[in-house]
Parts: sequence; C-alpha cells; structure tokens
Amino acid sequence: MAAVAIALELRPTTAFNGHLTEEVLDAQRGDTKAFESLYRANAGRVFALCLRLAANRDRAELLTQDAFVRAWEQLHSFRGEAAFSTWMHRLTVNLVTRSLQTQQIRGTRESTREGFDELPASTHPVHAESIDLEKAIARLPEQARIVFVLHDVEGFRHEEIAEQLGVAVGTSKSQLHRARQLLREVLK
Amino acid sequence: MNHNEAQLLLDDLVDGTLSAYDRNRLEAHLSECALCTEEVERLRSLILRAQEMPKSIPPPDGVWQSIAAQLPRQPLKLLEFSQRTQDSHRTPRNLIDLPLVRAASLAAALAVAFGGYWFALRSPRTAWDVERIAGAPTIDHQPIASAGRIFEGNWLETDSRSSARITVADIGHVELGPNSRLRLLNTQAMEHRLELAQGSVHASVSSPPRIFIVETPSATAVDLGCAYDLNVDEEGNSILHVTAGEVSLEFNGRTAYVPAFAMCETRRGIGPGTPYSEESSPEFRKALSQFDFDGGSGSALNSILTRSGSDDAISLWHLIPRTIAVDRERVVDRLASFYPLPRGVAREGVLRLDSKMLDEWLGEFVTRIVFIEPVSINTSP
Repeated sequence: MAAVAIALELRPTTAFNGHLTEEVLDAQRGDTKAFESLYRANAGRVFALCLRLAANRDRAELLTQDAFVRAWEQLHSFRGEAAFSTWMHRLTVNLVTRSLQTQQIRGTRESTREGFDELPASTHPVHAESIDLEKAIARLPEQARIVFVLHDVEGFRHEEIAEQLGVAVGTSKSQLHRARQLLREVLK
Repeated sequence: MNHNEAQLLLDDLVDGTLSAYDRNRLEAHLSECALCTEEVERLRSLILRAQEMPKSIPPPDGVWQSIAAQLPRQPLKLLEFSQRTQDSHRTPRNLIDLPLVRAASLAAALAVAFGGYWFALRSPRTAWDVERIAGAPTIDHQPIASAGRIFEGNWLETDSRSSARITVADIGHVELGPNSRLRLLNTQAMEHRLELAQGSVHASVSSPPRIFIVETPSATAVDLGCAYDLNVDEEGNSILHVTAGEVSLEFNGRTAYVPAFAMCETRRGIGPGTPYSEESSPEFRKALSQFDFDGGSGSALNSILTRSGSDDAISLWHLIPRTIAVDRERVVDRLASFYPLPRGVAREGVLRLDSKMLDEWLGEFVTRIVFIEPVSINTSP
C-alpha cells in the first residue's frame, strides 16, 4: 500500500480549497459511500438539466449515469475553487452538449420530445403551468431547445453558450429568438 | 424605428443587452406600438416562468445502483508526475520518429517499482460479461436479457434505444452507446483488443499501457492507461476525447498522442489528425481540420498559427514534425512564445526533430501521469 501513501501525498495542493468538504475528500480517496452522498445531493439538479437538454427520459437517465461516472473518474481534478455542485453542473453541461452534438453529426439521434408526458407530477411539486412549459421546451428544435435551456433556465450568457456549442454568438442569439418565438406561439 | 426592426430587438431589450441608443429608439417605438408592447410583456412572462422552473427533478429509482455498478473496483490513480527527469516512468510517446519508451519496459519498471504488479500474474478470461443498460442489445443477433457473455469473434450490437456495459477482463469496463457495433477480437493476458465498426464507446481502463486496444476503420486507439470516449460514424471516421490518462492513435505509421482533456479526429484512409485541447476555439479546430484533411495548405497553417493560444500547445507540438523548413520554424517559435524551451533543449535540436528534446518540451505543458498500484475499494451501495 506504499503506492497509496504516495498517491495521497502527491494529491495536488489545495491553496484555494474552500469547497473541499470532507465528503469530497473522502470520495477522492475512493470512498463510494461519500460519493453516493454527493450523488444524493446533486442528482436532481443533474437529471433536470439532462432531461431538459436531451428531451428524452431514457437518454437523460443514461446521461445522468454518465455524468456521475465521469465525475468519479475526474474527481482527482476537483480542487475546491468552486462548490462541488458548480463543478458537477459544468461537467454535466459539457458532457450533454458534446454527446448531443456527436449524435447530431452522426445522425443517430433518437427521436426526442419523449419523456415529459411521464413527468411524475404527483411525486414532486411541479405545477401544471410548469409542466406545460416543460413539454413545450421538449418540442423545440434541438439547437433552439439547448440554447433556451442554457440561457433562460440555467442563466448562461450567449458568449458561454457559443463557446460551449462551437457556434457564433449571433447563432446563439438567433436560436434563442427562435425558441422564444415558438414557445410564445405554443403557450398562447 | 419601424415595426420590423423593433421586433428584432425585443430579445435584447428584455435581456438588458441593448445599447442606450437602440434602447431609446425602441422605447419610443413601444410608446406607439401596442403589438410590440404586448410582445415585450409576453417575453418577460416567458422568461420569468423559465427562471422559476424547478431546478431539481428526482431521477428514476435505480440510477445510483447503475452508477455504482460502473465505478471501477480498482480505480486508476492518475497523478501529476513530480519528477519529470525520471525517464523510466515516462509513458510512450510514439510520435513519428520520437523515441519509444516501449510499454513492456515501462510495465516492467513499474512492476519493479511497486513490488510486482498484479496484472501480469493474472490469467485472462476467455469471455467478458455484458450487462444490458437499456433497450435490447444483441450478441451475434441474439438479444441478451439482463446480462450475457461475449466471446472472441462475437459482435455486440445496439439499436437507437439500446446500450450495454462490458467488463473488460479484470482491467475496466466499456460502455457501448446506441447504434453501435463492437466485436471482441481477442483477449489475452497482455492484450485485449476490440473492433468498433460504428457507434460510440466510453472506455475506462486501469491497466499498464498498450494492453487495451480498440480498432476502428480509420485508426487504432491504444490505451496508455486512461478513460476516453470514442465515436465512429457511418463512414468510419472517428472522434476521440480523452478524459483521463492518455491514448495513442495509430494508422499506417501516422500517430497522434492524445493526453487527457484533448481530442483528435481521424479520417478513413488518412488516419489521425492533429490532437487539440478541449479548450481550443472552433476557428482553430476548423483550421486544423483543413490542414490535416484538406491538403494541408499554407493558408491553413497561417490560420492555425494566428488563432493559436497557450491552450493549443499540444496541437503546435504535433505540427513540428508535420511541417518542414520555414513552416516548422514558425510553429516552433509560436509554441516557444507560450512555453519557452526548457533548459537543455535547443531550438536547433527541436528543428531537427531531436526526439529527446521534443519529449522534454512536451513535459512543459502536458501533465505527467504515472500508473500506480490499484487500490481496492468497496463499491457496494
């Protein structure tokens, strides 16, 4: 186990480690119980993001799994400069947008617009108006949906979205304009 | 301001990104146009509703169990390599004519360093476990229920709604995405080889370098101890994204070394292009693609050099042996502007492709990793 000691000694120093909680540190040492606690605290946020971006419940479930498996794999790179939830959110956005873009390039996207009919309204407090908006968002064209979710729901700026998606800022703006226009028509 | 012009600016108005000049003009129009005023109110209402949407939606039951099952029992520990001068610990570079610190010697050195590595002592399994994640994956056209076994020569296939997870001997796992075709070519003590004909895999492998290999129509991905995503399209072209460790992409003597947080595209009949950072700009990537796959013109190189930043060091480093004469000097000087040549590395040496010097320079901007003894952990939920 000498190598383990080396591993712990060589773990990067944490000069700005305000968010390196005990749970995170334990998970970084390989404690899956600690990682499960991190999952429990962040799964809802991650799943909501995946569901809205992918507009497909099965796909969102797989993406959520993938996001946490990646987080486990990359946990050593988390330095605690930001909250774990922020790091996890960014990791999820990267993973989902890249996954959706890759599928788009390959033309293998599953049909979207699925999953929101199954939203468990009875098991969590989502009011009817919100579900209508969820369904309407799910029916948006993909690029428009992604931009709308990132900008209006998640609060990203156009510059960040453009960088994330590899498009021009103007493209992000036009997709948002399109999304809002379509949503206003649907939600009349 | 006329009505049509005003309509185009309503989004910027509600987002607060309109210039003072345009805002004044638009507000003047709004004072006279009931239609636009109503549109603004509806836009604000929509945005408010979007902001008030629940930020959290409970995932289905069982997601954690699926995640826990995918967490490697013996995770690869990737550490920053603190002693860059210890050549014995270096991973293979295998880039064109760079010196190859061959995997065998690396594995041997590590085995000595860590008192005998467990891996070399293990017997390979002749078949791998396959677990259904979603849909109806098949092995040689036979649907698998919740789990199955894949033998050498078998094809594992998924449709648009299916995915599956394979346990790769004792060294890790591979998740096969939808619309994918994967064949187990062979599994032996010192080599596990797959063929990805189409689709996507996420591989997470904890083994010495060059043990786990995935062939695609346009290149062979040789694992150097890592985790990565590999996507192959219908034409056999692929995109590799390394999330931990490092991967060597190889095809007909053309090789690319792809470290963590970098990506690389391959083309059928050409092989791997130039790796790039996941932070590289779209414009830079486009210029690289033109250089790699559209004839490698001088204008593409100009664009690469102009658009490159410090995040693009791994790309510039790869371009040194892929360019000649004055172009090579320009590439070297550009890279040196971000990462000055380290002590003992001469510009002339780099220009004549001195492999040791190139390797030293690479160490200035690529995080070194070292493969260490796996650690047993409890994965029970």
